This record gives sequence, C-alpha cells and structure tokens, in this order.
Amino acid sequence: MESKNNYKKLAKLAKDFTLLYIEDNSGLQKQASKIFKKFFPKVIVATNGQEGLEFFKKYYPDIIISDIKMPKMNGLDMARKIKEIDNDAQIIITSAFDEKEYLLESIDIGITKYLKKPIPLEELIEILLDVISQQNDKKNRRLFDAYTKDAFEYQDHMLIFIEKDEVLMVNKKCLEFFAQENSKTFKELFKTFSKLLLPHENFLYEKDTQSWLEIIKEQDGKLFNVKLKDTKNKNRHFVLKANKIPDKDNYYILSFDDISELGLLEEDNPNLTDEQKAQEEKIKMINLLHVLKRNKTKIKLYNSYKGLSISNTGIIEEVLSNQIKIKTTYLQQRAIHIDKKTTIESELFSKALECSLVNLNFETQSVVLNNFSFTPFLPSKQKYVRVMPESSSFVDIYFDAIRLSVKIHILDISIEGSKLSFNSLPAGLKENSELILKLRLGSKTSPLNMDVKAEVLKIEEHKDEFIVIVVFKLESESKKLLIDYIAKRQMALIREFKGLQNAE
Amino acid sequence: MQNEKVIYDDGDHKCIVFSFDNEEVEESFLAVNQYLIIQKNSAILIDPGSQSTYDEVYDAVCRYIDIDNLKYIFYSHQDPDVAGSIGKWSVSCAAQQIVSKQWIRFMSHYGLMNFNRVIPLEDKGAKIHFGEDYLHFIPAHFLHSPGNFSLYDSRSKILFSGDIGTSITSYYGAKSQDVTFGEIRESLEGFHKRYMAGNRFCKVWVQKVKEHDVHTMAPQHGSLLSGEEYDNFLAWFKDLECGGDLMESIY
Ligand SMILES: [Fe+2]
Ligand SMILES: [Fe+2]
Repeated sequence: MESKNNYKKLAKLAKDFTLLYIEDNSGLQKQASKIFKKFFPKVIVATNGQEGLEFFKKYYPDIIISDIKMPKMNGLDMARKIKEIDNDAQIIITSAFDEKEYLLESIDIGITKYLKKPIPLEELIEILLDVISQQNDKKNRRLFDAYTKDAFEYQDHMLIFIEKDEVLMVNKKCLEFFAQENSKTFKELFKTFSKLLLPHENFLYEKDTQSWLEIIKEQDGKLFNVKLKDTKNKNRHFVLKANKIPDKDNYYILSFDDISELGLLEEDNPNLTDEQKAQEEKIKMINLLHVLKRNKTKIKLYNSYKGLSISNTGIIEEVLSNQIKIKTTYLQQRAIHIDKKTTIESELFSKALECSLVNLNFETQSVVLNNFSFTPFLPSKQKYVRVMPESSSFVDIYFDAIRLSVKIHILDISIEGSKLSFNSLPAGLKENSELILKLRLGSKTSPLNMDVKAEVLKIEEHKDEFIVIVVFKLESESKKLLIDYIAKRQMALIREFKGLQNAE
Repeated sequence: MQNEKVIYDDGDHKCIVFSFDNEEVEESFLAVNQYLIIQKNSAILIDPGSQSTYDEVYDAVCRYIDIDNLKYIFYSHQDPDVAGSIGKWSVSCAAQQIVSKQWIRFMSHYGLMNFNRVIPLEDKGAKIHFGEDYLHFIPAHFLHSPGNFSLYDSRSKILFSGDIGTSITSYYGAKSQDVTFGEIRESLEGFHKRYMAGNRFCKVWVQKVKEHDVHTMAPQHGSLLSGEEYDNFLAWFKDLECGGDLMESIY
C-alpha cells in the first residue's frame, strides 16, 4: 500500500525531471530503463562513462544513476568530471561490489547516494523520492529568491532593506530618487539620512529626543508622513512605513510610497470659496483613504456610549467616491450600530472623519459608511474617561454666591471637568467665570454629594441650549471620591452596553 | 513601618518599590510589591495591584511625580492582584496601559473599554523607548499566566519579574534586606511548583533573561535578589519541576 502510494508520488514529482542512466549490461539496462520510464518523462541511456559524460553536457539531466565498472570510462571517473562541471549534480552510484575503496572515493567526489546491487524497487523509489523532493525545494527557493529580488528591485515604492541601521539592499527606484550610483554610495548617504527628512507639521523628521529610524522601527506597520527633496530640488511627499521581517530581530524593509500627486503639501488656494475648499478637502481625504487601503494600514474608530468612549481599530476594505467599507471588531460594530455613525482617525489625517452608517454585516465584520465630514476634535486627544451620570443625578451651580435658576443638565463628567447643558445663559457668565458646583451623583438611594470649585473653559451656543464646559479645581479628597464614582459608573455603563447586545 | 524604598537612583533615573499590605492577602502572607520607574518627566508604574490598595498606591505615586507624568502602566498579567485596579487607573490618569494582547478582551470585566489607550503586547514581547533608555517586555508566558511578561529596565538593570521569584518572607519589597537565595529557597519552592506551568517554560524564560545584563530581580511578591543570589535563583529555576511535570500529585 505504502509502496503504491510512493509510485504515484514519484510519478507526480518527477514529471519535470530528466534522468540519465548509465549501465553497460544491456539486459539490466533494458529492464531498468523500462521501469524508469514509468516515472520520468525523459530517460537518457548511456552504455559507458564517456558516453554518459557527453550526454550530461548535452542534456543537463536532473538526476544521474550510474554503474561503476564500465568500459572506456568508469562510473566514478565520470562522476568526478560531472561534478567539476556542476557541483550540484545529483549522482546515484550503483555497484555490485561492496568495496570500501569505491565507497570512500564516492564520498570524496560528493555523490548523492551509493547503492549496492541488486536494489529492491521499493528502496530505489524511496531514494528517488527523497532526491527529487530535495531538488524541488532547491528549485523553488531559487525561483522565489529570483522573483522576490525582482519584485524588490522593480517595486514602484522606494525600498530599503536594513539590519539595525545598516543598509543591506536598496532598490532601483530609491537609487534614482537620491541620484546614487550604487548601493555602496547609498549606504554612505543613509548614515546622514535624518538630514534629508524635512521638517513639516505633524511629519516625521529628526527631533532631538529620538532618532527617526527608532521611531518607525518601534511602531512597525504604522504610516508616517515624510517630506524629501528630489533631484530637481522639489518637495515630495511620501508615506513611510517600516515592515519588520517576521521572526528575525533587527531586519526591516522601509518603504516610501510617493503621494505628492495628492497635493497635500500645497498651501490652500486663498482664492477658493468655502464650498470649493470643502470640495477639495474631500477629494484629498478620499485619496488618503485610498493610500490607507493600499497600505492595509489600521485606522482607529471611535464611538461613545453615554459619554464612555468605545474605540477599536479597523481596516479599510473598499473606497468609492461617496462611501467606504471597513472591517472592525464585533464590539465596535455594536457601538456603531447603536450610534448610527462613527468617527475615524488615522495618523495620516490632521482631522478626524465623521461618517454615518449605511449598513453593517456582523458575519463578515464589515461596515459601510458614507456622508463624510471633518471634525477638528480628535477623539484620541480626549485625555480622561468621561461618563454620563445616572438620570437621577443633578447639579446646583452657584455663581457669585447666587444659585443659578436656569435649567442645567450634566452631559458628561471626568476628573478634569464636566460638560453641562444650560437652557439659557445667566447674565455675566463667561469664560473664566468661577463657579461652585453642588453635585449629586449616582443613584437616588446612595448618591455622592460633593461641592466642587470650577472655572468656565468654554461656552458654545446651540439652537436650543448652551453648552458650558467647566474645569474642576479638586481637593485631593474629592478627587478620590470622583475617581471612585467615575470608575463605578464606567463599569455600570459597560454592563449596560453589553446588556444591550444581549437584549437583541 | 517602612512601605516604600528607593531601589535605584542615579540622579536622572529612579526605581521605587511600594509594599502596601493588602489585608486580604496578608492573611495568607502574600504581600504585594508595586514598582515605579521615573526618568525626568516620564514614569511607568508596574503591576499597580488590586482595587483595595488603589488609594494608597495612587497617593504614593503622587508623592514622587505629577500624575500627568505617568506615561505608562504595565500589567504583567491579568490577575486581580496585578490588574484589579485597571478601571480606576483608566479614570484617574491619562497613562497608556501596557498588557498582553491575550488579555485585552477580558479587560472590560475590570471596567476598561477604551482600547485607544491600551498598548497590546504581542506574544514575542516588545522594546520601547523610555527617556534615553529602553524597557524590554520579555515573554514569560505560562509563568504562571498564559499571557505574561517580565519587564527589564536597561538603565537600572532591574528585572521586574512579576510572579516569577515570588517568595513568602517577611523581607518583602520595601522591607527587603540582603537575603541569599539559600535563605528563601524553601519559601520559593511551594509557590513555584504549584503555580508555574512546567519546566520547559522555566527553561526558555531563563534563556531569554540571560540575554540581558540583570543586576537585580524584583518580583511582585517577596524579596529582591541581586548578583550571585539572582544567578543561584536562575540555576534553580531552570531545572525546577513544576506544574504539569508534577501533575500526578494534584489529580
Ligand atoms: Fe499572578
Ligand atoms: Fe501575583
């Protein structure tokens, strides 16, 4: 059974192989070559070493099987000559003699196998299988090496292959851009590469704290904006990424994707109307989304549930002119499902992108979004955890020692401050006004009562409310109480959020 | 009673150990050490502990730094004596929280939902810049937790080993004095045999930490071990039969 399997295997594996068989005994030769032809599509037969050598030069067979004792030139002399031509040649020697000298000589020549006649067919097949699969591996590796080298060389992106901070290889595109003769001169240039990275707001360039290379290596896979000058002294905009070679320490491929055509480096044209500007910005954003998709870069998605931020990463799967398809976690999908919208951030954007939900599919983990608009508020900049207090919570506010009589509602609270909604604005209340908040937080049965000093940071006028953001000045005791309250409320909101999922 | 101690200070870089007795665990004599590393305006807190010691640890940290300078909190694994306070820390400061990616999805049970502020550690570990130096997160999986890391501080040359090196001794953490491995060996044995998953994990961890120049090992429970005593610990731990190796005795 096993041998039958091996027959099939060998026939399959040997289908691209040529065999050279050298044997002077014509009876044996006929018999054996008949068997070989069952496996090898091309079997060349020679009757002595000299002929064998000639055929080797002519046909370049993949495997050679040879007898030792033959007229004109013996098998070992032939093997030595073949090895001189191609050290990689796979030679199997068969011999009726068990002579030690032959064996030692064979080892010296570097033949693949030494077999004693008669050779059982099963054993021969097993050996051929072994030799051929090794040859196949080698072939594939060579093919792969040649291909990847080609792919590296002719990539559209500039590529630099490094070990630690030494350049091992650099591709054509890169040499051309930096006007370098060869990789040797580029290696020198790379030592001062930090000087080539031009300063630009939110871009990667050398600052005194940490080297640019360390930064990108530490965050491999992340995209960085960089600005470089080309040979014509023009600024070009690249997206730079370090890819770590898996399971190898210190080996990275740096890739530079030229996105200058997106025009992100250009100043906004002052002659444009607001509408035109918005239109231009939108086009830029779509182009950037394409860059993110192309680089399979992770984006961050933000939602909130009663003030509590819910954030996970996602990947862009599809970009159309007015909608995108992303893939994200189940939890985030749930949050988007409740919110009917989400906010996207990426290291490539200076603003966040708000978008509405079109549809989502829990099975494929995908979410389709449209209606993009920009918001200058980056959710990642939110420093502290915020929560919306229980509906039974309320606040009394004293301004100049007088209790405000307007209707006030707590939208969210953190240890830093609170966002409040006023139904009308009390006279005199403005930025920097000092207040005292009498907070009553938590459930009716065991509320947290605390008096807190605060200062107005910002007042926003909305259609039917005023949003007042205040910053707390907390004593250490009340800070602790508030931390405790927010942590508990956070926990309760997480439970509530999860409960919503389960309720569906 | 001494419950904090500076264990390294070169002027710019400082390591402090806090030992706040957690009443629940003191019953079983397993007191907890928390560590703080400070370099200029950055600090990292290591294994801050359970809910019940949160207040004391928070106050202690504030005695050394402005809480805004707490850049990272590292949780070696998911146990309540390590990460139980994660919800409170997430509210009280803006630090990035570093934890094995194996535990991220469980963190909501401790009250953490905002994964934007979490740095998930890949199984292979990581190396991050800390001031002018590096922090190495060294894989220590299954010793005892399936997603577990030791932290090596390249400046102080201290290896913060989490539960590895746990000894039940009165000379723990801030109360530690120069003890020899021999003195605490017996108190190490019981814990490691039962809590560590098996010798093959011990061996590979020892190999990993030997790649670094370690002066002192600082575990989450018990005594610190330095120099030769640390070497003695490694030699013992490398050949320790534990966990699965001794399965018959617990079934
Ligand atoms: Fe533990
Ligand atoms: Fe522990």
